[in-house]
Amino acid sequence: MTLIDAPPAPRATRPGLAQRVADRASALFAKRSTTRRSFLVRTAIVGSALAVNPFRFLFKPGTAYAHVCGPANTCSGGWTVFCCSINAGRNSCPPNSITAGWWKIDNSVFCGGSARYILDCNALCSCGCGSSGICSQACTACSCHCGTNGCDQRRVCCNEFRYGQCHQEIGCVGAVVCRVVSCVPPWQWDPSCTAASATENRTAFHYAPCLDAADDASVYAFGAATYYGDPNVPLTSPVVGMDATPTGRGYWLVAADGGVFAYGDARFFGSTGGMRLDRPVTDLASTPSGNGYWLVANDGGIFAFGDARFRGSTGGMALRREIVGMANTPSGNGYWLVAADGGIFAFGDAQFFGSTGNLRLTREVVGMAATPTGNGYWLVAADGGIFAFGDAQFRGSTGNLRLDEPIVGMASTPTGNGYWLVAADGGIFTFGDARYYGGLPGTGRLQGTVVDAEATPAGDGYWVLSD
Amino acid sequence: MALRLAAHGLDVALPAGWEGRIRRRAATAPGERTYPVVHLATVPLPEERGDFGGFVVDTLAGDDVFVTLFEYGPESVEKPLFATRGLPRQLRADHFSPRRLQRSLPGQTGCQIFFTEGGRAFCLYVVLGDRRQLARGVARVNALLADVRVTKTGVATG
Repeated sequence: MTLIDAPPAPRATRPGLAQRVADRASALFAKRSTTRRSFLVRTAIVGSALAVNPFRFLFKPGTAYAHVCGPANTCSGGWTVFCCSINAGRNSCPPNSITAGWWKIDNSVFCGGSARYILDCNALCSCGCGSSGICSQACTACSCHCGTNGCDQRRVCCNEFRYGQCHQEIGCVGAVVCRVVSCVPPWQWDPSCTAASATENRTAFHYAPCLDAADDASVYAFGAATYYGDPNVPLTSPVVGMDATPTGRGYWLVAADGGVFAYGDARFFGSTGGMRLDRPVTDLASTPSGNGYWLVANDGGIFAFGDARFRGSTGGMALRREIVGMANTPSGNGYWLVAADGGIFAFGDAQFFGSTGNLRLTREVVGMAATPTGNGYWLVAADGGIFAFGDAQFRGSTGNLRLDEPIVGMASTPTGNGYWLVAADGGIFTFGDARYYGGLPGTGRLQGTVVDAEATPAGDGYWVLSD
Repeated sequence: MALRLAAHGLDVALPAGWEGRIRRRAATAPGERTYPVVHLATVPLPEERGDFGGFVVDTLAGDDVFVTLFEYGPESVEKPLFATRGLPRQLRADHFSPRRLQRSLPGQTGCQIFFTEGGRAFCLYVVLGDRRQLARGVARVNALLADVRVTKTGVATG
């Protein structure tokens, strides 16, 4: 294994503000004095996993916070439960809910002394509502109850309240299902949220043990794909994408902070892991030679390393939706970027063959794959809907299926006559000449959420990447 | 004579027994936008209140009332969430529900309405200390709302 970006070293000298505040908070929780402890302040942001697990909580103390839920952690406390407590450990909105607003907690111990953001996930409505912006519970898929997961026994689907900064295009939502947490401002990664700030420091010490889940990454190999390793240390940012080397004897993983991890015969050519990015990285694409790669951020900013050349970006453009993926041309002299609305941006020798940017999609686009000729591409949406352009042929989709988990990525076969779709639970869907080599559902192997998949160059296997 | 609060294009006449504040916080995060927030209550308002009153509501009892008028940015004005025109000045009992609260506390009831007035987008949020005194609480709120003015002169984005 070649570990490229080691996590930041624990702070071991003079305690900073964050640690001092954390110690003070710990003392409040534990009602006893605490000793100095080092901790990692983690920075995690959103990548192409936006549709699945957009909010990876960022704090990894492993100490006083691990088993506490903070004040008012019962139903009678009146506050809403954390999503990870009711959503299979995921710090994201559960199905049938959307982010409907957020508030800020100043100087949070959980975010290294910076602001912590709480986002409400409100239930989707099947009927309308008045000026309150809240529909009756009969119109939603959830009913009011108390959380039962450990000490976070706060309310679920009870509080009919809306902070109002997110999804303002939806005039009617249901009660707050649960809350997600981020140390990154919501408007930076959720285009539906405005930056109109609300504060509520009363919730400063609200917590749930599941927010303490490890940020690591796992690679699962199927068929002839070989496992070459994955980060076995806590990451400062979740992994969001991968790409294989031309030989198939290695692969790169990329994290949302642009940290690159190279395994097998994949070589490290640089990363943005040490830079302060304005926007999270969402994908990586390697050059045909395997001697370089591009990273793309969700504003379309491009970072080129090795023999990858910069051919343009959308970094200075006002995008309607965030960039969620990229694919390069066979020559390596160009690339496409795809946005969540299916908008396509072509650079270098990449040609524009069409997009869904002007269509009203049922679900957002989460990835793309180019045909072997470079004369076409597929886009895939979170519901598995496939949109084929140029010489890309439609071979089927899951758009009409009811999926347990959303689709998070796709890979094409070497012939271009088929493709695989991968879901957040590691489920694999094959179309055309793509063969099935196994999946993760029901195996008990999956740790975290699947964020991407990559086929071997020969098409005789694939890797699945989870955060 | 009623005390008047006026700032940021918002003007409120405070009836006897009410306290009020109009503030606009300074932005502390890059890209953050702050807009005016009005707090009105029949209980003392602490310095730190929370925009929707997290530090206030558990002091409400009996016929106490807490009101927030929270403004959103200009980008919100034409959005469906703010389709209701005009500050609601005559709330009804059926606008209120014990669940319609940011934080559900025993005995309390609340109301939340999004609207646009004067080309500005707002949320009106009201908490009553005791739902058994709903009628009296609604009357107190309506008396207050009758003399709240919103002008088109808001604040610059920032």
